[in-house]
Amino acid sequence: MFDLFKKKKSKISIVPPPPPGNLPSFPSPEELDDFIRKDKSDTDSMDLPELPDLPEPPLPGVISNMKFAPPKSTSPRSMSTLKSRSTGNFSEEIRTRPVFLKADLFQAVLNDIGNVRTRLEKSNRMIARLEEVHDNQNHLLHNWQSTLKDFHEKLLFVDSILFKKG
Amino acid sequence: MMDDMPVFVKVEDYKDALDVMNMIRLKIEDAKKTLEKIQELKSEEDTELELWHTTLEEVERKVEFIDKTLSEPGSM
Repeated sequence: MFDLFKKKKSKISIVPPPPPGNLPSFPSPEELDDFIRKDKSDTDSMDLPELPDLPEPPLPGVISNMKFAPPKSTSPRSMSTLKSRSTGNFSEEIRTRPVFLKADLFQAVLNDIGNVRTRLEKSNRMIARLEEVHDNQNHLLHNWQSTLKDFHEKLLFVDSILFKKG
Repeated sequence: MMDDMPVFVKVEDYKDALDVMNMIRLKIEDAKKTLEKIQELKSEEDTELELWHTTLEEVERKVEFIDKTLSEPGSM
């Protein structure tokens, strides 16, 4: 059983180390200090942009409670946002250039216009009904006014009978 | 592929449409004010009708009293 390993041992060959050539030498401590000093002065002289103020990162416990939503800046520009910016030349530009609406949005606008038209027709019918009610009310008021006049005359008649000096 | 592509509709006379929308907005504001005024008038009308009702009941009581007095003169 151990003869098997003896065979393998005999086959192992050790690779000789490479011949020494022109290897780079390590810098001396003085050279290293000079290099660090020079690197620092170069970094200080560079005109680097200022870092933006980043918000404080939330604590790990807070992250799990946060609701993530896409950033607002990535939302597509709609007509309302365009309209909100409609000042000065931008407004004129928008008004003169051809405007395109998404087909589904256009269909929604058409539906809304149809809905508004239906409601306006309903409002017209309601106004007509209100006018009818007012006409009836006026008619009843006139009737009541004539009844009141008649009532007044009869009251005066009774009054004259009761207080007639005999 | 074609189903996923957005379809756009060109809107002619966009400026006129915006002007009409502004006009409609003004009309709606006018209608709101008119409705508020009508509601105020209706409230006044309701108050007057209530007063009328009270007055009528008072007149009815007085007429009943006169009628009773005239019908039974002995009880005076």
